[in-house]
Amino acid sequence: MVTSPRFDKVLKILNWVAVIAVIVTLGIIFFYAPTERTMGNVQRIFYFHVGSAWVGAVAFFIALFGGVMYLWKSEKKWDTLALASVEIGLVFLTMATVAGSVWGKPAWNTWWLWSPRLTLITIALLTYAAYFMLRGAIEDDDRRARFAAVYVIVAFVTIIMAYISVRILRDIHPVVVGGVAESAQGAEEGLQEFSGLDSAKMGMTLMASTMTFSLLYSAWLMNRIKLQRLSDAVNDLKMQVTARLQGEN
Amino acid sequence: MNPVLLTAVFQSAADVANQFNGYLMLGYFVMWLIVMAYIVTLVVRQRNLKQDLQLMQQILQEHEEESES
Repeated sequence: MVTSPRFDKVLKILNWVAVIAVIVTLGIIFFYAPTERTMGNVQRIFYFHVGSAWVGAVAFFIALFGGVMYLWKSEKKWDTLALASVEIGLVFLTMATVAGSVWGKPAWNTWWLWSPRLTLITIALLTYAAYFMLRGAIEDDDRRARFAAVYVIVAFVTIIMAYISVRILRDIHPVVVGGVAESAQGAEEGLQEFSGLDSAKMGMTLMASTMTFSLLYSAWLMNRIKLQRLSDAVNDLKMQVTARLQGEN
Repeated sequence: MNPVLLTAVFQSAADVANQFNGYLMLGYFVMWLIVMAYIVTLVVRQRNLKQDLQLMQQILQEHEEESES
């Protein structure tokens, strides 16, 4: 058994809670949130776009925490946490990017723009994808975990840059958290018309969406940690089998 | 009167709200596709690892039985 019965029980409950939360959130998005005045129903993409982007950033922060803890304690569990969190963060960031692109077509009349935010998100995606290449290139467990920990800490710079880019650079991308008052220079020139949160109902829907994605992240994280422990157990057994077979010869 | 202007004048709020519904459906479809794909990869990896685990345990057990006999 790779995980404790308590872990499995919590995981089972969390999986179901996440599924129910997703269904409820979809209901809130489509039946509770008001229709945006200028864009219409397509604005409802925004709730999943922002929710997944936010949770993606949180996932990378938790990966950073795992990296720091591994460098401090040298315990495998922190490396596993970082690995699991980066993988899930990439899924959420991909979702946010795709959703943003689909929203961008009717909003900006193009699927993609090389604006500062979008360029930095692409850099972040590629940087975190390279994390797996780095892990795959190092055979020694301790060395791999140490290098990966340093990498995941440095990689978080891309997330910080993507977050602040719309606040300090001229960008077509709307500023949602912090509102128009804190937005980029583009706001003064009419580039920030859509702030995303025109009513309290919209704000509550966004909060529900973000909480649901956080639950989904937690459930996936536990599933991924369980998977990694299973993978480690299989690798240990493979080493034992190899050692015994070599002992015979 | 210009037909485009006429359309703009008589266009209902419902038309405006639904004008980009195709993109809304596409967006949610692609997002859920990514979610489902990730869940499938988790399930497949877990299934494969469990099979590997059983196989390794079986090999070790057989090896122990052989060495005992």
